[in-house]
Parts: sequence; structure tokens; C-alpha cells
Amino acid sequence: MKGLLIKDFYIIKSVLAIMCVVFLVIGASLSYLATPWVLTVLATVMLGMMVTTTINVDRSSGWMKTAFTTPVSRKTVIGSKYMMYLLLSAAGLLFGLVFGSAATAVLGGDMRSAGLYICISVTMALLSGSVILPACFLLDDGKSILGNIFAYPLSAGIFVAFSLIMGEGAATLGVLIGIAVCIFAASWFLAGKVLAKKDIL
Amino acid sequence: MENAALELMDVSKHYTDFTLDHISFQVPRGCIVGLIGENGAGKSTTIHTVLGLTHKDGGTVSLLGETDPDKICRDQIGVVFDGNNYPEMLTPAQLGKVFKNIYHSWDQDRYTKLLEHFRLPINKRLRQFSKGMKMKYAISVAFSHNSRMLILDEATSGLDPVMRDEILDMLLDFIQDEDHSILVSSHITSDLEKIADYIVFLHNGRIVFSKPKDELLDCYGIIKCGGALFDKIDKKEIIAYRKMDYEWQILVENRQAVQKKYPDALVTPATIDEIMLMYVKGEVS
Repeated sequence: MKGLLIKDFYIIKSVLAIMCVVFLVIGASLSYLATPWVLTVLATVMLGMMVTTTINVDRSSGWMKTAFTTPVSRKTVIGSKYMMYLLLSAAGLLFGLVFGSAATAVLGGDMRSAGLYICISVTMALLSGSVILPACFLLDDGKSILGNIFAYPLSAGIFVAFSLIMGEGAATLGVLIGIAVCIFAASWFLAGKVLAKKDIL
Repeated sequence: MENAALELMDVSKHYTDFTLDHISFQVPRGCIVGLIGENGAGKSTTIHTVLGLTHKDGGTVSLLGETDPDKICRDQIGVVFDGNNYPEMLTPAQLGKVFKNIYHSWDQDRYTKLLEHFRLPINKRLRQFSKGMKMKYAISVAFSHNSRMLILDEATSGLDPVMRDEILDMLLDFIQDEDHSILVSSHITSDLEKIADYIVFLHNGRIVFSKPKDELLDCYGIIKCGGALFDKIDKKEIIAYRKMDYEWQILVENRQAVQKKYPDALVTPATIDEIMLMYVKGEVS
């Protein structure tokens, strides 16, 4: 898996630098308009989504054919994408936390809302990743974008629905994170099973 | 065959508009097998099935003594596909680091030497490589992890004759180790005439023949004759025939015997190209 992660890192390396600059600009704007903690959600979700770039590059370059003739198994190839998604989302979360803490310290603000936005970030990242990743693997280029389009409203809808049903509170956030983790794990497992049977042409 | 590096037994694969129909052939250890056939014959489908990229609908594939695709030691299999199959924004240096962490038997020194030998810039992105350079790169990777078996799907297409000759020499050098084997699919049959030990001919998803190359080149022949001689020739001796504008062309299995029997006939040795054409475009007896 290490070799596959290294490859994906090389693919997105140049874009990562640009994304950091974009986040800083967005984060600065949001600090004045709303709260800097919103960047936590944006950075987590947008960095995680960069994995789809690597999947599309793999598909268009024919890398999948090469990868499946090497000693890595199909499950490992799938696992590397889910792992990369988690690593990038974690990097985005960390970036957002660092920026949010710095902006709050400079501009003054409420650190207590950090917890809420961390939970939203984790939940949105895991729920949307559960849809986006298998859609990218299993559907062709045109249809996989549907995964991207539906993943975020679906994740937001689940979040809002639970909040309305259970009320806003730490318990609700805890339940949502737990559900998101389970759905993400199930997506990882099922994607591996389905791709194991797919013909690579 | 116990000493076969690769053995296909009754392998089938069905698509909507194409079927690989009960393919059986072997790649003995220490040998080079050339897989030939016209476009759409099923060569790439066969190779994809061997490598587990597509799931077969029937039959068995034994690769380096293993029939379970999950247990095959892929460290020992070097593969070159037609076209570039690496992310084009990466450089050979970056891909070297990737493969070092994928293959347990990766030989970085050999990889670097091969890149130097082929004059491939190590820090240039693959998208800036020509088609020939990309093919040389793929061959470098295949030779850089101590493979026992090479599977090459149109690996010499796009290469100039000088480089093709050099690649063929590398393949012949590879096969000097009797534990090494090669399956090569190619449209450039003159390359196979130089290096192959066996030729397997695929047509419309079926094996037409699987024969030693020397038998094809030393024994097969083409008679070019008029209608009178065509009528005289024993039809049991005819493998395939074509009626051309001014002559008949007849493919025979034993040209020496035919020449003795019909001393007035013009019998010429058949190249692999000509044998293929006769089977595909001619009437097969």
C-alpha cells in the first residue's frame, strides 16, 4: 500500500500547494463574514475529494491494469484510496483547526464552536466519502460525477435529519460520527468485494 | 506439462459480441511463445485472462505453477502492455520510488541502468515522452524486478527497427536462464520469426494452431499455380487456398514433399505473415 500512497501523493502534490493558498484566502474571508471554523469543514471535505483526482488519473492512464499485475491485491488498491481519503481529510481537518485557532486567537472569538465544526467535518467527510469513492471506482467517468453531486447534499441531509430528530447536542454528534464511521467502513468493505469481481479492460 | 511456466486449459470468456472459445496452449519453461492473430482475434483478451484482469468463464490458467490468481507470485511476472499505463504526470524517478515500495524484488540499480541504456530522462514527466520512449520505459520496469516470466502485449509496436532489434536481443538474453519464459503477442511477425520457439495463432477467439516456429518456417510452403495444377493437387495436402486475380495460392504443410510430387509447381517457403493471411483470407480445407 505504501507505494500506491506515494504515487497518489505525487499526483496531487502540485495541487495541494494551490489548495493551501485557496484555503487561506477563503479562511480569511470567512473569519470576517462568519466564523473561521467553517474552514474546518471546507478544508476537510475539499482535501478529501482530491482522491477522486487520483482515481480519475488511474483510470485515464491505464494504471489500474498495471497495478493489478503487481504484487498488490485489488483490495489493497481500493484500500489505498480509502486510506488516502482519510489522510487527506485528516490533513484538511488539521489545517482548519490550526487556522481556526489562529484566527480566533487574533480576532477573538468562540473556541467552543470548534467542537461542533469538528464533528460536522468528520461526519460530512465520512458520509460523503462512502458515496464518492465507490462511485468513482465502479462507474465510468460521466456517471461517477453523480456520486460527487449527490454525496454532499445526502450527507448534509442525514446530518440535518438526525439533528432535527434527536436535537442538537453532544449525544447527537456522537451518534452521527458513529453512524458515519460504520457507513464508511461498510463502503470500504463492499467496494473491495465488488471491485474484486470487476473486469479491468 | 509440469515444466510449463504458463498453461491454459479450455479457457473461455464470453462478451456480447465476442467469445474466447476453449483456448488451450502452454508456454514451456525456457521458451518464447509468440501469440499472433489479426486485430480482434482475442490476443489481448487471452493475456488479460492470464493475468487475472478479466475473469474467465471457464477453464483453468496455471501461471508459474499456481492456478489461484490471488496466490500467484506477481513479483516474478513482468508485464508490458501496449500504450502507456502509468500516470503521465509522474517521472521515472518518482515511479521508481513507487515500484520500490510495491515489488519485493525491485532492483533499483538495474532500473537506473536500463533508463540510462535507453537514454530516458529520469526527471522528465512521462507525458513528455514519445510513444517509443514510453514503451522503452515500460520494458525497463518489466526487467527491473527479477521476473521469471515476461508477458508482452504488443511491446515492440512504435519502436524503430534498431530499438526493436535491441529489445529482441534483451529478450533472447533473458531466456538464456532456463527458468525464464516469455509470452509475446505481436503484429510484427518478423520479430517472432527471429526469437520465438513456438507460435500460437488465434483467429476469431479460437486457436488455429500451436506449433514450433521452426516447423512453420522449415516445412510450410505456398504453391502459386494456375487452375490446372490446382485441380491436380490432392486436396488432403491443402491447408488453405486463395484464388487471386491471375493465380491460385495454396498453403501446404510439407513443401518438400509437395515439390517432389509436383516438380513443375512453384513452391516457396511461407512466412508467418503469409500463413496467417492464408488462414484468415483464404478458404481453409
